[in-house]
Amino acid sequence: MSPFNRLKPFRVVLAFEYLSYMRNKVYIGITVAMIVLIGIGLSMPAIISGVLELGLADPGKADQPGPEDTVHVIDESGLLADLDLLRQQWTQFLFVPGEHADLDRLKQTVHEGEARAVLVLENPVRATLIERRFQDSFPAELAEWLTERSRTRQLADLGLDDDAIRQALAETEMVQVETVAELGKATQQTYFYTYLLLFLLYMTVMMYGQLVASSVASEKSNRAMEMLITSTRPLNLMFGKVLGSGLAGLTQIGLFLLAAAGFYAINRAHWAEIAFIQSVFDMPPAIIGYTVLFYLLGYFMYAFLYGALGSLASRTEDINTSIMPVILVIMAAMFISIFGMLSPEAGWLAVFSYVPFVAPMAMFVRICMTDVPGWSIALSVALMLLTIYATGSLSSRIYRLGVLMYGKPPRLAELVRLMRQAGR
Amino acid sequence: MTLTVTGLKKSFGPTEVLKDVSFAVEPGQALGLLGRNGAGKTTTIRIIMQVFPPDGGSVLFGDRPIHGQNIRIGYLPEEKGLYPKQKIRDQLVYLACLRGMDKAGAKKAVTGWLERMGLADTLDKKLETLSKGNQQKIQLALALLHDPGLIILDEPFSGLDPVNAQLLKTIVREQAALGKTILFSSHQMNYVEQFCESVAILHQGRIQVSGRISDLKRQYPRRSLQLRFHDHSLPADEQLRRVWTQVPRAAGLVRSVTPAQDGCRIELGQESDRAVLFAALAAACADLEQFLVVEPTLEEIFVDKAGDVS
Repeated sequence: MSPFNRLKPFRVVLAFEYLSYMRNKVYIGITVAMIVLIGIGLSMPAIISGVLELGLADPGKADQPGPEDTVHVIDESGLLADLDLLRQQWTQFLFVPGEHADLDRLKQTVHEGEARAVLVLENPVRATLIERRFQDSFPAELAEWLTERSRTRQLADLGLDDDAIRQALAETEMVQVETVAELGKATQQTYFYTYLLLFLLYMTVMMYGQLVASSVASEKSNRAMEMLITSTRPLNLMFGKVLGSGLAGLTQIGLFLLAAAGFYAINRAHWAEIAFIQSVFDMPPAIIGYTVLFYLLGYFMYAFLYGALGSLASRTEDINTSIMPVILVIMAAMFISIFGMLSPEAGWLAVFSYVPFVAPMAMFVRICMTDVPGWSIALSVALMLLTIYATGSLSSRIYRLGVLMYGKPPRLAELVRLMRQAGR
Repeated sequence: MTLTVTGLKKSFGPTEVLKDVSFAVEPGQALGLLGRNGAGKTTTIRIIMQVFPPDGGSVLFGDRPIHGQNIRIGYLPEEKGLYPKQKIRDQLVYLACLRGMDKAGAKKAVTGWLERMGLADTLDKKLETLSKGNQQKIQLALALLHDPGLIILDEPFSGLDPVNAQLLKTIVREQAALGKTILFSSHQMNYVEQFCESVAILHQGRIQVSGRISDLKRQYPRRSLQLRFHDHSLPADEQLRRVWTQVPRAAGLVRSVTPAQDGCRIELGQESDRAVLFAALAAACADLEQFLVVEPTLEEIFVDKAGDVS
């Protein structure tokens, strides 16, 4: 047989598996639903501003504070001569002076929602704010404002003039410069999209891996398996199935990325002010290439294991138990990589970027966030390819044995013994 | 080409399923592999199909061992099932292509065989919409559509109604006439007897007996006789009693007498006593209308060879 003919059954399996996905209603449904979600998500600012415009057009909705926005102020410190400064600062509240004797009653009105808050200034450096439930940044802003008030007062008491006080209270402006920024790998720029892509990698590897496992287990439970393994070599079935599912996954990811890019282009103006969203869409094109590469490497590394473990389950209900070990490994890899994002230059992350099963995610983080030498990427990819080859051939052997084993999944020791036996 | 199975051995853990299984199937012949549940029929067939290797022994087709996909085998497994949610045409073409057919040839063969099975209108239906019997016919079509030289059918009758069993019988006969080598397993003796000339009875991991059914029957002692008398008004044992009084010696040869339609059935102690009894009856009973030597049925042979409780 020529090598071309040898590959024929593999291509037949691959085409059948891939087309099965393309015809599968669930697959199509999920793809369409995700694209719709991406569309809605990226059009959100446009939708919100549209709704706001409608809201503003409604005269009843004028932004006037009502009685429920009342803030009772009990000033025992003498810090506030009157409440005008407060009123200028927070126009959405009604500031009303109060007496300490009334504290309990005022507290009750706050609790019942008739007033927003009670502010008690005990002395220039101690204040108490009472709200029914803290809901926004008002307490923090208020504390900062009061601090400035108190300091200004103290400095004025020492005889400083307004300019001197302003200088004394001025905050140091820190301009941060990272040298990796010139490579486009500054932490701020990269963190968000690295996180997003890492998560995408994790989700897709997990999702398509499970599809492989359940596809194998369903062939076993509907008894198509015996027809299949007597028609061609298990290696063809395993590689065809894994590659077919992988391509289906790639098709889906491709569609998602396209949809995201398309909807972003439409809504570009609305996102102009949000830096981290921009950082995602302005990521270096090479990163997209690496995303695809590491998706493929990670997917194959795990998909073979998923396939092998799926072949040990007799029924589709048993899959979850069967594939638990792989899920744990993927989760561990994910946590290591997320932790690594906090210190992407760390030596331990570099080590993990060569460790099989962790490497696809760890190396991806390093590439996104740091300057990794080419030989290092090449070495990691080579190690991953070796691992894929090893898991691929190991899995085909487990699969060969597993597919006709019904009943309780075999223990590890038994599996090794059977594999030795079959290997003769 | 001849399928030759020699000295197959197979154990699963501590259980020795096949101890020594040897038989041969000639081309143009259908051999029935018979055995009780758990006798090792499916294990034997799976070894021939290379689902797993034997611990010992060999399987040859012609003079070559079966290896990889080197010969085209049509296989109907015991565990029958395909993709329930796929269209029948799609999955049959897929499996035919996996066995080396090209797509156009596969499509043509699928259409042809489904017409033959009377299921042409199901081509674009999902498999799960068909009845169990029709699903099995689909699988039978799948076993045959790549024109295999060796056909192996594991329990092909299970789930088929008499009309479909007849269709299966016709198809198997046709395939045999084309010179195909056919092996099938069953424990339904009545079908087997109609289907094939030869059988091999597998019991506790060994072939107990094998050969042409007619030869097997001939080898079996024929001690059963069917008698019929002209005078239906008199019970058979009354007729016989008259014979015994005239030829007392004959009475001692008979082991048992069972009344049957228009006469009785007699079991002799020895096959050789037949001539003696015949002479006695001929001399003493003018009323005798029929003296028939009854062949053992395949079922009787099977129960005799594989019937002990294991």
